[in-house]
Amino acid sequence: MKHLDDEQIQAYVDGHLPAEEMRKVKTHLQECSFCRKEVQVYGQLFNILQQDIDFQLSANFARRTVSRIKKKSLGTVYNKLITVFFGLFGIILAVNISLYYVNFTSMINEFKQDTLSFDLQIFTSIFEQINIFISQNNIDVRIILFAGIILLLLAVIDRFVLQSRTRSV
Amino acid sequence: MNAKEEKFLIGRIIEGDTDAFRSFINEYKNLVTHIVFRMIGGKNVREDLCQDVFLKVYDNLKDFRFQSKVSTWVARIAYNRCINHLEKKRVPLFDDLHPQDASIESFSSDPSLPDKAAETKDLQERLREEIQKLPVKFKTIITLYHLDELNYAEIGEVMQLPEGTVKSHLFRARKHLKEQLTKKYQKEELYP
Repeated sequence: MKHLDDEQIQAYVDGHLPAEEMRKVKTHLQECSFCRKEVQVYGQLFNILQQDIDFQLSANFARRTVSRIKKKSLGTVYNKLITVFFGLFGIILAVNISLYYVNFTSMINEFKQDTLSFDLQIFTSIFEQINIFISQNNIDVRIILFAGIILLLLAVIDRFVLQSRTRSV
Repeated sequence: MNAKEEKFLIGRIIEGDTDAFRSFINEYKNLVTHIVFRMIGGKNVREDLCQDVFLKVYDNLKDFRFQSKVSTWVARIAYNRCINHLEKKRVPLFDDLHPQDASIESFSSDPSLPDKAAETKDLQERLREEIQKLPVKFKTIITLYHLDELNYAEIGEVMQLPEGTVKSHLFRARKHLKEQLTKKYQKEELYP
């Protein structure tokens, strides 16, 4: 009697055989004790392979992973703030050093007189118009200025704190 | 969890809901653990690697387009993370099963394995040892198929292998394990 091969037995135990072949295998198994034992062995093997043992993570794994993510993103926010701080500090330092060595006032005056005279005239007229509008309508400029500063602050907080926090859970 | 619930959960995570990501971890930690624990031998690095996988999942979640199942995507990230780790450790990744290990004579007589409770426990222990000895791709396929119930196509997607290769590797790995176990039990005459 020809025994079933391993491929047939595995497919039988897996339940992947087509109906016709399944019928043939079942008939064979009724007559062949060797193949029945083979089926039992594979059955036992597959049962053990399905057992979910030895895969234990620590109990607070999820909590620790989430805090690691928070820590990582908080680090990113701090890094950004530090970058901004050092960037501004660098610019201020560079300007101060330059001011110490270079006479900017005369340079700026020359620049105003030569190149920017036309543009400045336009800007001056715009500002004059705004000034007239404000004085005619009794608008307090300080309120506008204050609102502008608040908006600027909100934009900075949103850009560097809120957006990063949203990304970081 | 069905696809709709998964989509909702992922949406909440992207919006910044910490509890949602914790639920996501609890949903997929078994899958990730199975892959990492099977592929990586070092007990002290396994949990860190599982964390790395979820960090990577978190970073990439906003780019996930639901073109595959979430489980398949998470499994692929876990598999790739383990491969990177093994490459750094210079573990051979493309080893094949050795034909001499699969001795035909081993089960020429009685192929029975022990069936009493204590003996079955011993058998489980031996089987775990044999699985750990398998080349990486073989033990990963066995794990994904039997523990996580992924089909051939999904395993192929995770491991970037053709479906036929997955099927053939699975067959060979299980045959190899069966032969190793029957050979051991008969040779040592533990259970006549």
